[in-house]
Amino acid sequence: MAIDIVRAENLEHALELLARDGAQARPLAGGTDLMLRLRAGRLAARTLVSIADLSDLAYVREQADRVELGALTRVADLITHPVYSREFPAGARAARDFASPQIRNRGTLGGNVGNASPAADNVPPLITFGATVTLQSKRGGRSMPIEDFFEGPGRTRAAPDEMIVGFQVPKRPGAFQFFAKFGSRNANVISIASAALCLRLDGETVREARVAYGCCAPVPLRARRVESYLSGQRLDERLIAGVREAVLGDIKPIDDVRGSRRYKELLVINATEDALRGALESVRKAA
Amino acid sequence: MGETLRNIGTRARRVDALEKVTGRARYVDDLELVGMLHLKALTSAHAHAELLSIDTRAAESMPGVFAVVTGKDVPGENQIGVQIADQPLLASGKVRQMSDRIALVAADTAEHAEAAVRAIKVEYRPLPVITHTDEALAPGAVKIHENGNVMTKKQVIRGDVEQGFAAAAAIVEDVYEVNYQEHAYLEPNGCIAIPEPDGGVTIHASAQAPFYIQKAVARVLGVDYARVRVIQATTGGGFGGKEDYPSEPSACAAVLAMRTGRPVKFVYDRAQDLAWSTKRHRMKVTNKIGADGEGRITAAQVRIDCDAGGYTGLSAIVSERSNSTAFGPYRTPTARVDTYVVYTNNLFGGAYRGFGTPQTTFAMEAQMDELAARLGLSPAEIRRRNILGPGDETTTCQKLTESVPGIETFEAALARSGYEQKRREFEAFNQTSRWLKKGIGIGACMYGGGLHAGGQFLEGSGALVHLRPDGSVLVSIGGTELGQGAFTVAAQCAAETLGVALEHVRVTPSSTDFVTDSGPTVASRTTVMSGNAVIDAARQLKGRILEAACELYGVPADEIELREGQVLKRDGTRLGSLKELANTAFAVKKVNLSAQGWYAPPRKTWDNARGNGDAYSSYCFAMQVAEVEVDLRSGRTRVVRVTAAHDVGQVINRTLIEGQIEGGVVQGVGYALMEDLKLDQGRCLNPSFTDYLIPTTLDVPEVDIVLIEQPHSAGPFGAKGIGEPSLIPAAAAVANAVSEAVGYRFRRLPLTPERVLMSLEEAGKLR
Ligand SMILES: Cc1cc2nc3c(=O)[nH]c(=O)nc-3n(C[C@H](O)[C@H](O)[C@H](O)COP(=O)(O)OP(=O)(O)OC[C@H]3O[C@@H](n4cnc5c(N)ncnc54)[C@H](O)[C@@H]3O)c2cc1C
Repeated sequence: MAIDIVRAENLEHALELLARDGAQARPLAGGTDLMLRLRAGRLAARTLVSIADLSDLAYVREQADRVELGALTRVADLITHPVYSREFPAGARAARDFASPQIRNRGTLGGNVGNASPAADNVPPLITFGATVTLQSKRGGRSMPIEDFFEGPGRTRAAPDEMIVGFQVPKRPGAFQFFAKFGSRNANVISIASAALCLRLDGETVREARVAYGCCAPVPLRARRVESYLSGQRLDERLIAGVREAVLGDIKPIDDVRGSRRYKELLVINATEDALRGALESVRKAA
Repeated sequence: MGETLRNIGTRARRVDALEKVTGRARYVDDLELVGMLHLKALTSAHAHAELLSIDTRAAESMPGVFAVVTGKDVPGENQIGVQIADQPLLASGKVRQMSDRIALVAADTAEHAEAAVRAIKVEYRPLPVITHTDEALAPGAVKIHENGNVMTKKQVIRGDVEQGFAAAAAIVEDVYEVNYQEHAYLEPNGCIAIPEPDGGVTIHASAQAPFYIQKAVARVLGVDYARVRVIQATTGGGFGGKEDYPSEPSACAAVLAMRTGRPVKFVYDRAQDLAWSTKRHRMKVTNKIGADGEGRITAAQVRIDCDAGGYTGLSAIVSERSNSTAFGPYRTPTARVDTYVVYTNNLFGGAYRGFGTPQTTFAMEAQMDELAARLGLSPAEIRRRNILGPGDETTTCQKLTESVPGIETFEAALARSGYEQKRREFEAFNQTSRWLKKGIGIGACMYGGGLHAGGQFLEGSGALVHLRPDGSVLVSIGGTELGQGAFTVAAQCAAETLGVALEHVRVTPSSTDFVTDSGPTVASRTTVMSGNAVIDAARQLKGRILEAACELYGVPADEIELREGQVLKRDGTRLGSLKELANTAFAVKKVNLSAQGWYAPPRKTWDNARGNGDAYSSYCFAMQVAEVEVDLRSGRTRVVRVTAAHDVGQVINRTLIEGQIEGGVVQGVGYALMEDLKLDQGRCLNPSFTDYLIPTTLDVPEVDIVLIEQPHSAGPFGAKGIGEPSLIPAAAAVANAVSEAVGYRFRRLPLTPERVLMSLEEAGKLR
């Protein structure tokens, strides 16, 4: 089956093409996910709308209370951009642990989110920052919290004619941020599991906790039990020791070639405890 | 020699460096021929089944299809087994592993061939799938071959082990199991078969052993060896994976080339290569050793269960190396080895750098640590007390005579790594560190260079050297260039012997038309075998032109020296150029400026029943020390440093040797920590580099290399092999370091983060 690849000249053109071909069309950004599926014959689309030329959508913009990221921002830019790495060190960490230089130079944030893999590394940190995703179609625009964007592996709530244009990421001044990715080697590895935390602390009290995990559910998961377990509590060894139960209440990892359910559970429990210990250490150091 | 070596022990640039780094080198898949067809294979849907029917009618009438063949269409013998005739080229009657080919399609495009493959209908009657050697050996197990599931049994008997164990103060006995390892060469298997007008065929293949392909193709076509020309295409890595296996795709392509009268290309994609080609064998190793109160081994016993997969392939030979050298570099006054090579329905086991020894080395080296702990000795000390030296006998009762620097190599590795001190430091560090644990471990190996006594009918290698009238030199060897640098070594040997500048030596692609059957490029034998053959040819030529020079310059031949393209008197006076001399020798004196060289080591004696005799012509020692950090939160191991001390006889090319050692260590690290093929009912679940992980550059430890040079008289300029010894001890060293770091003995490889963490969790070592 022949596939058409159309280069969109600008956003309007891209939206036009998506509206025209509906469910038969897919946006093509860096192609680091899409081309693999195409080659493997696992792509239903008939038209690929290349958005690679829409350079207007590649940006990291700082506003007073937030940072705006364009859909075509390359993963490599998340590492090097001074604003992103200053405001969101855990986000920059996720970008650094992502793939290899070649893939980071091609792969985009919009593609990482649009691909809707439970293993997408940039997503858990963005969930913990409270990021929203902005969608655009000929019919208009809308936005939603990023954790609500995913429906299942490879499935999102974007309508066939809608495209991700960007992300709004609220700044988290003074928050303790954490990201850890687990794989069997140091680079170019799909996560076995990942964990992100963003904690607003007041002395040794957790005012607000936002926690997310990768590869622990069919979608990147916001861990609401862990969040409510931690929120308003005093951060101490007792709290840390008890987080295990809350984590197990949130996550539902599966056995697969990358790892067993039990191993993934242990990984995110250990990572969560580790993050909390790190947070405790950082407030004690600051005091 | 007596003269200073100009081209030996240098860092000469590889002869193929530029073409490879610029991308100009042409690999099989880069070759396009007029009228060329593309071959695709249909492989089995079951790991074990009776084949009831194959219906190719629909496929035959598909667009672009030129031919569809099954087993009955093979013109010669439908048989590919190199050692035992147990493997049809195309399945007949039964399938025994997932990679069994049912039918082949040749079409004008790869897509058309693929579509036709999908249109072939096959009926099977599934049989129980045997997934482990224990199942295969269990009473009443379904028979994979008519003669049962034990393909062959080998043994070594040395003295009376029972008496040896009776004299022991401590005995350790345990079961070790290792998983497959995939070669992961950059270039998947590929070949082109071109039908020749004279009824023969030319094969261009990515391969290590053109002579194997020649025999296999001649057999399936029913033609003379002389009509099968095999040319080694530029080959993107082999590591043993392209020893016997390329005979299979080559024979397939040859059958279709003869059938269609057109060139046929058969190139695998990565998933096919991973799922179909041979692997390092899964083995179960039951190792029992005993030592006296001083830590001196009194008895060593091992049982090896080698999982061959559905066919023999090279398994019987691979396991002979496991069998003959199961106890590494140690003295074993009494010993008993029982090796069972067992059919299963798993992946096809074959040659892989190290050839059956990384598995037994992992077990033996772990056992040495266990025995040391039992006796209150350090891991270093127990090894020191047992390492073989000159005059000692190996397990197979072979006396070691020349170039036996085992202890020197061992001490060099310990000293350079600061082993004892680091071990104490790490122990102290681990007392206080909660999550991060450090460990240091030793891996030791003694490797027999060249082919085993049992395979010595293949042991001999040729070379063809031409001196051209302009003083340039053309070399052909029977060995192959796999990326290891064999052509550079051959060129250096020719340049050194003939006194030609290296840049005027060209090495041709290896071809069966140029030299005699030289055996395979395996067993770390090519520097020694092809190097010696080149030297033999070059010496003949040198003798002839010195004779001509003697007449031309009126100087006695033994007064003349050839150096870097110049003809000199011993005192350094210049007589002329090699160019002038070669031209005169050729044009005026009618000297034959071509010479065939040959090298074969002395015959070895071998008693198969007792596994006694001269297993290998010579041995080299490889001693490695690995330092690791294990993170107890994830189970992840980072290999920080590997100190690699190697006994190499004489360095021919320092850069190449370092490359071999670094590469071998990295493959060993991958084997130890991450490379993990997963199977379900004989089917490979992760045939891709997304999920079969090999080390990346960011996983490579610092590799600190120490070279021990004690020349061996049989080696070219004294050199011994390095290809495999570089890999063999690495996994054992890493595994010992991990076990020491976390205080828990691991008896399986690989030590994936999951295996480490879950084992410790189950052993109650985490909280
Ligand atoms: C070797 C390798 C290593 C990798 N390692 C990692 C890793 O470590 N971590 C990780 O998370 N991922 C990894 N990936 C996956 C991939 O690189 C990332 O998901 C990447 O961010 C995808 O971006 P892209 O621009 O290439 O997307 P594309 O392949 O172009 O698109 C991916 C999907 O998103 C859709 N899409 C793209 N842009 C938009 C948009 N603006 N709006 C709506 N939908 C859109 C496409 O239609 C498609 O369905 C790896 C991939 C490879 C090949």
